[in-house]
Amino acid sequence: MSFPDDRHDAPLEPALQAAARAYHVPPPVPADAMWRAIEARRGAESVAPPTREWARPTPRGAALAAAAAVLLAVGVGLGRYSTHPSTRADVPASGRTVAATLATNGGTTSPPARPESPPRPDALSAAEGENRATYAPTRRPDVAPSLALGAARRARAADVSRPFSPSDAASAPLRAATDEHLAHAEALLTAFGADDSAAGTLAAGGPAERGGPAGTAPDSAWARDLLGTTRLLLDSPAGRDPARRALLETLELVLVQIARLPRADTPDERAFIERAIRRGDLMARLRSAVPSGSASGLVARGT
Amino acid sequence: MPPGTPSSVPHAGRDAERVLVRRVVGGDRAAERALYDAHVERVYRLAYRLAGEDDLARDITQDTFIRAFARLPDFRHDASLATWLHRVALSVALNTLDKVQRVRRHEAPLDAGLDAAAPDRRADPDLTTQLAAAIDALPPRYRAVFVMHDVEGYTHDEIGTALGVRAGTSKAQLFHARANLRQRLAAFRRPDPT
Repeated sequence: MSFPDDRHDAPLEPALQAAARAYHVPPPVPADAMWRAIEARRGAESVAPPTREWARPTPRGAALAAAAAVLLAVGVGLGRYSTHPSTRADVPASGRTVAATLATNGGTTSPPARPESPPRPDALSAAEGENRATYAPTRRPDVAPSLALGAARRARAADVSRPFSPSDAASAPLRAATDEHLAHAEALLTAFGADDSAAGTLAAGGPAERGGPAGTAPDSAWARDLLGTTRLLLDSPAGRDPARRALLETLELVLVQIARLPRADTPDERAFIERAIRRGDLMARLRSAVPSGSASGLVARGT
Repeated sequence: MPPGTPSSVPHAGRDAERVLVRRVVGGDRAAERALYDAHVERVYRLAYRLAGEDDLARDITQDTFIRAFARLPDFRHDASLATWLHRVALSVALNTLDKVQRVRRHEAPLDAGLDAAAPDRRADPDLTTQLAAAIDALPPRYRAVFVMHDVEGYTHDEIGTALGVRAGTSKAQLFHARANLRQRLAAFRRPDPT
C-alpha cells in the first residue's frame, strides 16, 4: 500500500475520535508517590556494592587516597578525643579504630541530626546572573558513603558548638591531611586543564592507570576519589573554618562535574567545567590554601 | 486543545532548560525535583495510555526518570528536554510492555483471549470497548504512534524524534494504524444514510 499524503489520510470519524479519547484515560498523576519511589531506588543504587572503578583501584592513586584517608581519620579522631575530657586517654592507635569508635559513639549517643546545609554558593549560576534562591542546592551523596563519613557527621553534630581552631595543636594531623588533599585536588585540576578533549596527560600525583570505568573519562576516577575525601573533610572539624569550608564546597561542585564526565567528552563539556574553575577562582584559592612544600612534596615523591 | 498538547519551546525556555539541566548534572536535588515536576504529568499520561494499568504506568514513569537522570550528562540539547524525555519514556514503555505481553501470553490459556479481528457483537457492542480492544491489538509501534497523535496530541515531529524516525514515517505509521482500526471496527460503522 503506498503512503498517501495528508490530503488522503483522513482523521478518524468523530465517533471513533471520541471513543479514542476514552482509551486508557489516565487518573490524576501520583507525582509525590512516584518521586519517593524514584528517590528510594536511586538511593539504593548509590550505596550499592563498589563498582568496577572502586573494586579495581589504580595502584598509585589508591595508595595516595588511602594515605590521605588514614591521615584524615587519625586527625579527626585526635581532634575530637583530645578535646573531650572523658576520652583524653583513649586516643585510638589507628585510623580504622578511629572510624569504628566514631561510629560507635554516633550510634549510642545519637546526637541530633545535622540540619540541612544552607544554600551553597553556586559558582555556575553566579556568572549566569540567576536568582540563586530559585533552587536551594543540597549535597547529594552520589558517591558510595563510608561508615566514617556518616560517623563523622554525627560526631560533628554533637560537637558543633566548638569551632575548629587551626592553631589547635591537636588538629595538626587533620590540617596536614587537609593540605595534602588540597594539593592532590590542585594536581587534578592542573591535569584537567592541560588535557585535550580526546586524550589526557597526567600531571604528577595522578593515577598511574589511565582507565576509569567503561564510558568515563580518565580524570573521572581520580575526581571520584577526591570527591569522597572532600565530603569527609566538609563534615569534619576542618569544615568549620568558613574560608576552608567555602573552598571545599567550591571544590566539591567542580569534582562532581569532572566525576560525571563521559569517556568521550566534548570540548564544550570540558570548557564548561574550566569556566566553573575560573569563576570560582579555584586554582588560586587552592594554591594559597596549601602551604608551600606540600604540592612539591607530591612531585618529589614521584607520584 | 486536548490536555497535554505539546507546544514549541521558546528561546527563553530553552535557556532556562539548559540551566536546569546543568544544575541537575551538578547534583542539585531541588533542580532534579523541578525537572521531574515539569515533565512527570506528560510522561505518566503517555505511560498510562500505553499500559492501561496504574502499576505498569508508575513503573514505566519511574524507570524513565531514573534512566533520564543517569543519562542527562549526555543530553546535547539537540531537541527539547521534553522530547528527549518522551523518547526515553517510549523506549522504556515499549520494552516493558513487550516483556509483560510475553509473560502474559505464556501464562494465559490459548483460547482465553477475544478475537479482535472479529468482534463478537453479542458479547459487548460498546464502541469504546471494541475500539480499545482494536487499539490494544495494533502492532506496538502503530499503537504508540496512534496513541501519541490521535489521543495525546503529539506532533509528528515529536513522535518521530521519540521513535527515532522521520516525521514522514510517523505519518505513514499513523495512516496504517487508522486503516487497521477502521477495518476492525467496520461492523460498528453506521450505514450510509444515503
